[in-house]
Amino acid sequence: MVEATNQHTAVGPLRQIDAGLLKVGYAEAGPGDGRAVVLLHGWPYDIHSYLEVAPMLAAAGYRVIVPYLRGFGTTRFLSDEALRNGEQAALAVDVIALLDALDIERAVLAGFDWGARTADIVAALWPERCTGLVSVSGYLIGSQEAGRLPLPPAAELQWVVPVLLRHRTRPGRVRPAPARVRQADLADRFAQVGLRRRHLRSQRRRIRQPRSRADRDPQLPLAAGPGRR
Amino acid sequence: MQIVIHNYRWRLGLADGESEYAELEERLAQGPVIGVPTITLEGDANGAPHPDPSSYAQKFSDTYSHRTIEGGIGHNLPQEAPEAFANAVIEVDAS
Repeated sequence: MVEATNQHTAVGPLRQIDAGLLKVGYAEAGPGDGRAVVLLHGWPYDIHSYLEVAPMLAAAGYRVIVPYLRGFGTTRFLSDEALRNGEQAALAVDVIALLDALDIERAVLAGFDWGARTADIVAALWPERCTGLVSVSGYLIGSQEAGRLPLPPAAELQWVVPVLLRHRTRPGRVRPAPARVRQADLADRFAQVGLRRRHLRSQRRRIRQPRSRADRDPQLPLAAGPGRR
Repeated sequence: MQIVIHNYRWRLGLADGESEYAELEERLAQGPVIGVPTITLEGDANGAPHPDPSSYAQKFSDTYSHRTIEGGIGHNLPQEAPEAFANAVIEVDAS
């Protein structure tokens, strides 16, 4: 077992290496001949999520590689022309290219958020490169097809609530949501069919309103009227 | 920023990917089973959208275990629970 020390300010010395489409910026810790582990961060985070984990694993004898994902930190595209592609397979191919560039045959892959998805994909499609997987939130491999389907209500709520709460903030002034607006309360409210009916009624009023305004104001050309955008 | 926007647009079908990844994406769309030793983790206070652990356990066909880390642990698990994360790496490597 390892213990937290909470005294680190850097993950390890920062290095750069050309790998695939990228010049990858990464931190390395631990013995160069140790068993390799690659720690993958998520969005909107970076390699500093592993500030404590990296030295723990280094102390346990691992060669710890913590890359900045494409678009993050010191990682750069080699070509200005390359599409800034964020699709899941592209991020996984980046990891394979990095393993190749570092001459690492196999590694433990560990990650959270985007990094967990990437680790999942490498483990699924290139199991010969992955000795083990640690994935926060489990199986996150998706598809565009799945992205088109509605989520189950409980999952939909997880996406809707943060958006609603964010609407309560004003530019330059971040206000925490009032303590009384708890996720459970919102879940109850969303579950009420009455809310949906009221919402529909107000939407209908908004749709009807422009027509009556146009009727009242002959200066307002119909083609430019609201509702035709 | 461009990559983040593209990532979320791609997921929603609002942006295309690149043809060189199409074959890989097709395989991923089938929901391939993961056949390496795996430990999945979840924080007990993860406020970001995440699947229920019971929904994905069958996706892992080799040695597998799940741990929910308690004590108000959120989405940034390696920073919030570094010991649990590091120990999972060490243990999965030994399995």
